[in-house]
Amino acid sequence: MFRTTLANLARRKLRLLATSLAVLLGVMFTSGTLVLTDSLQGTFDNLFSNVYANTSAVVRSNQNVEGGVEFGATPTRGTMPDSRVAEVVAAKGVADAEGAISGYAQIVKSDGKALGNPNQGPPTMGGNWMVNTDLNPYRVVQGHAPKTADEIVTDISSAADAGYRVGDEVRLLTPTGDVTKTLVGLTKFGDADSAGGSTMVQFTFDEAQKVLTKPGVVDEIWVAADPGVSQIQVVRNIEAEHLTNTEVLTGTDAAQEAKDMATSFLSFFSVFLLVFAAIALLVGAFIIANTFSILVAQRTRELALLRAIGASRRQVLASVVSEAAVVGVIASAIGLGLGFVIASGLQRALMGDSSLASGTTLTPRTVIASFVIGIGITVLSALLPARKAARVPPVTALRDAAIEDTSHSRIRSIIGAVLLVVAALALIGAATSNTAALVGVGAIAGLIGAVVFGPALAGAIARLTRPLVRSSGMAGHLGIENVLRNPRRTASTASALMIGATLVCAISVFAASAIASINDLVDTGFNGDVVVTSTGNGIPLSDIDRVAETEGVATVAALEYGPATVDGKGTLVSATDPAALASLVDMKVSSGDLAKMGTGDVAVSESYAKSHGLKVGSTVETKLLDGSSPTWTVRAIYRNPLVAQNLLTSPETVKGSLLAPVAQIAFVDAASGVSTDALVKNLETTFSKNPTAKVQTNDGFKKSAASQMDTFLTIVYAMLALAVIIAIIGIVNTLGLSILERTRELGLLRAVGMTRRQLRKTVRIEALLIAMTGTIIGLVLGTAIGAALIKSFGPDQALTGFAIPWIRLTVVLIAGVIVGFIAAALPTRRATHLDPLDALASD
Amino acid sequence: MNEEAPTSPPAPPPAPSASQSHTITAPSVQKVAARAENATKWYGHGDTAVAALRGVTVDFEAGAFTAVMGASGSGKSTLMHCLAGLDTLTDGRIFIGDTDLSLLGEKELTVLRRDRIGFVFQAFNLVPTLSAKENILLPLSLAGNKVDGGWFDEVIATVDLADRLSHRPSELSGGQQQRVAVARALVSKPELIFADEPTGNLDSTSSAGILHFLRDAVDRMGQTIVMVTHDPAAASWADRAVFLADGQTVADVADPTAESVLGQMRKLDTRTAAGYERTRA
Repeated sequence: MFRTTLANLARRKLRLLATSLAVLLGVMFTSGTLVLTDSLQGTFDNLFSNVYANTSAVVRSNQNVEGGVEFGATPTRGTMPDSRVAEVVAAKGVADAEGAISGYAQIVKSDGKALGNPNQGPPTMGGNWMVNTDLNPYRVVQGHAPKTADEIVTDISSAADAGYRVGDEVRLLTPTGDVTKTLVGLTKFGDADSAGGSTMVQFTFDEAQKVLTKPGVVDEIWVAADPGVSQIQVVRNIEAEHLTNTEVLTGTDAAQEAKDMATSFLSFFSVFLLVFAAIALLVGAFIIANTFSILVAQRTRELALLRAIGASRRQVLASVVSEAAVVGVIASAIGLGLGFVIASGLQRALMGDSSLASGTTLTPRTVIASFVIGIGITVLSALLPARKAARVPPVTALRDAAIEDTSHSRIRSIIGAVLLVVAALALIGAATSNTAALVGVGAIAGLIGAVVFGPALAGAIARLTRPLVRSSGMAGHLGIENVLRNPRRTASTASALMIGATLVCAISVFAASAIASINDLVDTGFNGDVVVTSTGNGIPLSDIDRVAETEGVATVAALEYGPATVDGKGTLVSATDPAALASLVDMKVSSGDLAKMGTGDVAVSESYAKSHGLKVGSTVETKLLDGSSPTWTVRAIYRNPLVAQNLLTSPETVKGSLLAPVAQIAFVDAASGVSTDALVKNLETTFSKNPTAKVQTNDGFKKSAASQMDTFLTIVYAMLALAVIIAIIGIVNTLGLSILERTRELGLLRAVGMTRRQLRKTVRIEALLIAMTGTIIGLVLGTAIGAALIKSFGPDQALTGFAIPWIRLTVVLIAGVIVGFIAAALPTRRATHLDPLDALASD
Repeated sequence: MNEEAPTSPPAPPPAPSASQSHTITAPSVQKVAARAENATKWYGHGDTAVAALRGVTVDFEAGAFTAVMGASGSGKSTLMHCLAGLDTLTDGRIFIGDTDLSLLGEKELTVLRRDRIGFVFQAFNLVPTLSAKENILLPLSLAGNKVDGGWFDEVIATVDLADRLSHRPSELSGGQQQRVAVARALVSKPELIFADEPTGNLDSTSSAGILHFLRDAVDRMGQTIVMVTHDPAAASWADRAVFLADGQTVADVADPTAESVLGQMRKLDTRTAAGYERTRA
């Protein structure tokens, strides 16, 4: 039997390839993601091993924001007095110890622009130059180490990118504002030109404390042990000193902790990508199932003949399943290979030729996952058609050509309709009761319902289209009749595209509504005239002071953000002058008064109040990074969480215990008689030396929020593009098989005078109808899901707006038409190049 | 996306539009509807080349019912395919009316088949997704031409399909399907109808019915029909029987009867016994 299977496959190499492609691309996506994240993990491992290469122990504050608020690479941990360095050096077995200070320092390039963007790329850091060459992962390769307050060194790669050489004056953006230093040396990180693409500027210890706003404190103390003293031994010795508010860990553990952080970051990244790989695989599964059911239908007589001459049902089943398995093996192998190649290309693009980059990593996990997924999906998808094949009665061989069962199944339609009603109810329920979980139920019921009800829908859409193609005569008529000939086939081919269209539309509606919400909040809530934001690490508070002094400015409210432990959980705290904020932003206060807040008072968002049972007058227990544990009193509850998600307090209340004295956003009100344009101009002058500050009008702020959303959407669309490509392959495959099946009929049409152009039109209309069926169902379903999702979030998430992106949805519809045209190209070629005589002779 | 039907063939041979009427009005035995001139067709190349036609020259008169007879392998189907513009000759020329087919491109051949030639095949060859009526009107719809209502009714009445027009082919019997095919060939008033073993798949009653309609089309409508068959009974309905063997015309019998055809076949059988043995093996 297996030989027949192989013979079947070999006879249809092209079909085999097209079928394989449906799974191959999904496997490629999966293996590419796994290889890339494994390889990046390798790079991070190398990097952090280097950082702590000769460090035996790390001493740090035990004041940490629990629950790990995500603050990128910035530590969410308290500091220690620098006097502790001497106490650590005094411990037994310690050869040397040095304080480590880190903060942000962004180089202003010689062209006046900032180097790097820590919000979108590797961090731009500042730190102290460690004197002990064992502890310092950097080494000077040109010039010398910084010796005076005016001197800095930076890594070779950053200096080159910024256009600086040893001896140049370099301007830096730091938490203390704008400083200018002399570049006296260039460094390497181990053998690499930079630490994984990050920027590192190093000052003398004293200057680092000053510039990075860590007066009298250090972030960590790095310890070198005496020769022969193990890491564990030296940790124990330091612990024995019982230093207040500190914890000690080995260098190895410190490196491991950093590696683990990278792992968790990478796993976000990899899950994000794998979601799209899963979508691609799901779409591929539809294609496989469809292709195999067509193949089985076309081979009915052949299968019946096998049964008639004595093949058992099991053997027939096995023959179809093993054909699928062969397709799966080929698809997995090629997909794995292509994924590896793409990942290694991406790795090179992301990491450059850094000596830190590990080789492209192919783990057994990747190989096993690729084959299990590839073969598993192909075989599972082919199982239903295979069972159908096994049920072909032997007598069919003796009858005339068996025709695929194309009857409408009433039961199927009823089940589909019920599912669609369930979906509609769930989505309406989600929208009216603010229950996001119901959206999931609705989406799944809707997708399955659309697939099950698909044949009925496909038939209805084709019939509705009839009057539209009347003008295109017989060619159009035949195209529609071909679609109606087997609505089940049409529907399952269209399903693949439907999934893609549904997701695109749902995300588009959600994004458009989110943008509408932001616009709404800005329009109704921003009473000021100008918004200042940062494309770097933030706006130093010293700059904010200059904003207040800028001509034409009436009021400023600048928001700092930082982590704090509240009620035992890490949470985001916003700090600003509440009264100023209340005058500039409509915080939609539902109880209490922001203007009456003093030191030690806090305002909370309504959703936070609800989930924590807080009212005006309640108290919250907090723990700050400096080790203090103040109790705050709630003075107001607000409903506008756009600028302050959970807790809002004054800078005095959190003085010095947030991360750095920088604001992320500042609202500015113009003095009476000052135009917005004039204010923008004045503020741009104020920030002329800070290339990361962005001075925008409220409209400009809306626009940049929308463009950020667009960037995100573009990424998502690009990821979904693969699913659409697979859907196109599905349509090509189905049409190709249908044409093969209709060879004789096409021969007749050509013989009685159908021109190639007319035939092309017929095939094209069929393809267009399939594509349109998928797109239209997807449009309706996706819009409904997106709308329900946004409505289900309700006012708590500030997603109060609702918008249907008509233009984008129209683009989706047009894209559906284009998909149809693309998918028709190959099958039309095949159909029009049939020789009428040969076609008539075929059976 | 417009109807392309009447788009002009680049080098229009004698106006095909005239075909709408001239063949039926003046049936004239002298007029030639189709002509093969030294028609030669080789399949394959070099040593493996096989000759299907070896210089056949034959005229088919307009308004006549001609049967082309021969055993399988005699070249009769190839001759018909070449005459109908479905296949091309290796050498020699084919004329439909005054049009030299060897000068036409693929597109012009398609239009010629659509506008000037009708087909009836052995295996009915209807489009399963179209109703009987739509199948009958297929060549006209493809050309984007209007239906002549009176003519359509006459054709339908002739083949007796009036109550079957909305049925799909799968709902019709074999005889009915073949009548639809005959009606399809007639309705566009082609200059020439080619029938390829039209009764090959039918029982004797249905066969007689079809042949009767074909005879009627010639007698009453002035249609020209060339029928390929190997059935002497079918050939006896024709005005003339042309016999092919080994790619050559070997006999030409006027007003054939079943007996005269059978006699001719027997004669051929002995003459080309070797050839028969070969094809049967």
